[in-house]
Amino acid sequence: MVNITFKNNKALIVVDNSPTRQEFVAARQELEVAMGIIGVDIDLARLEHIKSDQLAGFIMIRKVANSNQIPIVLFNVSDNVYRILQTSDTIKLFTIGKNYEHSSTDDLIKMFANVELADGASDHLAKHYNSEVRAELIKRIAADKPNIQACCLLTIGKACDTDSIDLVRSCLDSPHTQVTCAAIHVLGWFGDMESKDRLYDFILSPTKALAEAAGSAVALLSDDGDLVRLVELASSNKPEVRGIVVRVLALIGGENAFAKTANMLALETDVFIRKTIARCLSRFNTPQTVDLLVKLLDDKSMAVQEAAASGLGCTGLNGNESVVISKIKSPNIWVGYFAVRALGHSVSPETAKILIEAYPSVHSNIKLAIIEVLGHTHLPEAITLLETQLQGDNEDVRREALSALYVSGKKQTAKLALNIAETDQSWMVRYRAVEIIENEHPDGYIDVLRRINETEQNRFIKEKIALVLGI
Amino acid sequence: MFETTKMSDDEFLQLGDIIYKKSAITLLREKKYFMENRLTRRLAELDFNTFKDYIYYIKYDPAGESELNYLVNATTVNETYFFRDRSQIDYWLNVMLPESMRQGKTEFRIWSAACSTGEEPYSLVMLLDSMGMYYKARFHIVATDINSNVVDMAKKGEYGEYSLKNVPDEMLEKYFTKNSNNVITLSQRIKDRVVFKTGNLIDPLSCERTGGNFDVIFCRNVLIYFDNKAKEQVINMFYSHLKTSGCLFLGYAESLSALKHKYHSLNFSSGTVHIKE
Repeated sequence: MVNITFKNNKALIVVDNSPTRQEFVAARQELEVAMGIIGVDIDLARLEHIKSDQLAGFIMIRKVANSNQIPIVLFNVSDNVYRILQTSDTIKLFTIGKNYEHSSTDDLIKMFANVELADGASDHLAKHYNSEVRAELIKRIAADKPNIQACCLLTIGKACDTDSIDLVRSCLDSPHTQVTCAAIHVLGWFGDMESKDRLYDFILSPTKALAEAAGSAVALLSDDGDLVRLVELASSNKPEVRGIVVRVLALIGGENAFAKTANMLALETDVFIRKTIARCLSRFNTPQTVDLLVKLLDDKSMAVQEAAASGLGCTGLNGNESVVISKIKSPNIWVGYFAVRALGHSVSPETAKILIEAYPSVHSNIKLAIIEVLGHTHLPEAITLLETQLQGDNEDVRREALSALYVSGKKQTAKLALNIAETDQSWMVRYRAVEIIENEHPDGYIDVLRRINETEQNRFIKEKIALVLGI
Repeated sequence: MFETTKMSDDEFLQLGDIIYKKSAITLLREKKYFMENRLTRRLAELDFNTFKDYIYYIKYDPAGESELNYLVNATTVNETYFFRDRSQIDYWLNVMLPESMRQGKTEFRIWSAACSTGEEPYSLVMLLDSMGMYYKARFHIVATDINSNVVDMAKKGEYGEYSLKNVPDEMLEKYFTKNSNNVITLSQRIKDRVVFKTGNLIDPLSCERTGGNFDVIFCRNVLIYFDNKAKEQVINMFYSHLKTSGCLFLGYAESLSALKHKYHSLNFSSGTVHIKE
């Protein structure tokens, strides 16, 4: 089916599965005689796949639109149809958009069954929430599949429909985990203090998803006053409960919660929970956080060291550079990697020299982290190292080195990029080079890009070049 | 408990490149938001702050290969349903199969490639069963998918409304049961007729493990995810796994015209079949 309607000087064409040529012809004829049309929207939400004769129908519509200089947009294009447009090389003839304006409430709720469309449809309904939408969502919560119910609940939550709070509360008793999870999240968003005790109970649930959802919701409802209760839960003999408590404490934040977390760390023996604590510490914005994380770099567990090093990447080092730098050669390559990442972008020349010295003997991932840091140092020896890495075997190293050199000196690197965009074996490196050329427009770039475009096979690079050259 | 971690365009391209090298699937830009949501939790579980960390983990950590499987599973989620594009199956069942049996063939090997959650191979089994074909010949059906999660789901045989939308009522009655939790399950008798395996169409070793040569291969609405180079590789791999006179069915909109191949393509009323001569 191909159905054309007109509203507000726009033509809306809705295409169902198995559209026929005659239907396209009829739509085209209507479009041809319509007056004052400023745009054509083609909604493909109901079209799952497309054959070549149907493609011809779209091209027919496009021709009419183009001849009147009317913009034409395809909306809600499924993955299948998009790829067919791409394969047949007709994708460039159309603008593709995502628009739920033309979808009914029923259509949008049906999209909840599709993991890729659910969020967008839910957001749209929440944004355009009204009594009709509300009634439909409530109806579905009573009688639809669990995944649809869950999405309906989340939509009610996003719309801040606190009038529905009783309904949401009742969903805590659903036999379906995803529905209960959704209800828990929404009650947290609503700040429902009345449900707090029940939410605390869910923290003890053996179902991980429920426990985690409850943790998030409790955190939204909590303050320092809850710390006593949380400390009690923290003494649970179940590691999973202790793990949730730590995350809740991290979400509450503040010095008191930090103190409780540090205390948990001192008493905790389970490696996985210690690692979780180390990870959560980085969320606290207290002066003691960095010191504690630095101490954990010497923990007997590699997993804890890793989590601490990773956490330092979020907090910064607060003057502990030398301690952290000593971890570059840790036997755990991720401790070394995070240690370098934690240095951030402003390292002292002495630290930069240590990194340059260590570079040849460290693992590849640590090399990549070092390269990124060196780009910000502007030291001659750093630049020399980076330039040699442009010839290496590893495409990631070459790409990162090019990026780092660009940070160090834009104009000079842009000249290098002209050559790299033509000669590097890796499309990822060539793409980066074209990005740099795009930003800097070095002398002769147009001719070089035109030349590359004739032989380049990679479609991302070709698209980028087309954008730069305006072709 | 997890805020979505943002993925830069560069990180998306890198992840796309990793997935392409593993599976030949090209990611569309529109998938970026979806990937962010899917992978944020995974980043937190692995203690990574950024997608860059995650990319380097896949590429440089010894556990990277198994993480790559996780990544491919996360990105290859394709909804399908029973009796999708049924006219192709009907053509094989009502035209090609009888002809082969007339020529004395009594044993048939069928490969449902990229089977997702099993609707296609099970559709074949239900049709064969309803036609009484299991009394007249032997049918060995192998079904593969790169995504180990969907293969597990296929083996379980539990389906929702979307998958069942095209199933005729009498088949629903005959081959499915609904339990007290409204879960709809395919009958064990039908499930037992299909052997499911994890398999990667661009990995030659993986394809060898599918086992032997086939009379018919169904690989529908999958090649659209591949570029021409990968498509050629796959259809030529299929060719080497087909018996003489064996045939290949692709999706309606999938054509071999731009590819180098040795098939003889035959048009029928509602599609095309590609035959190894």
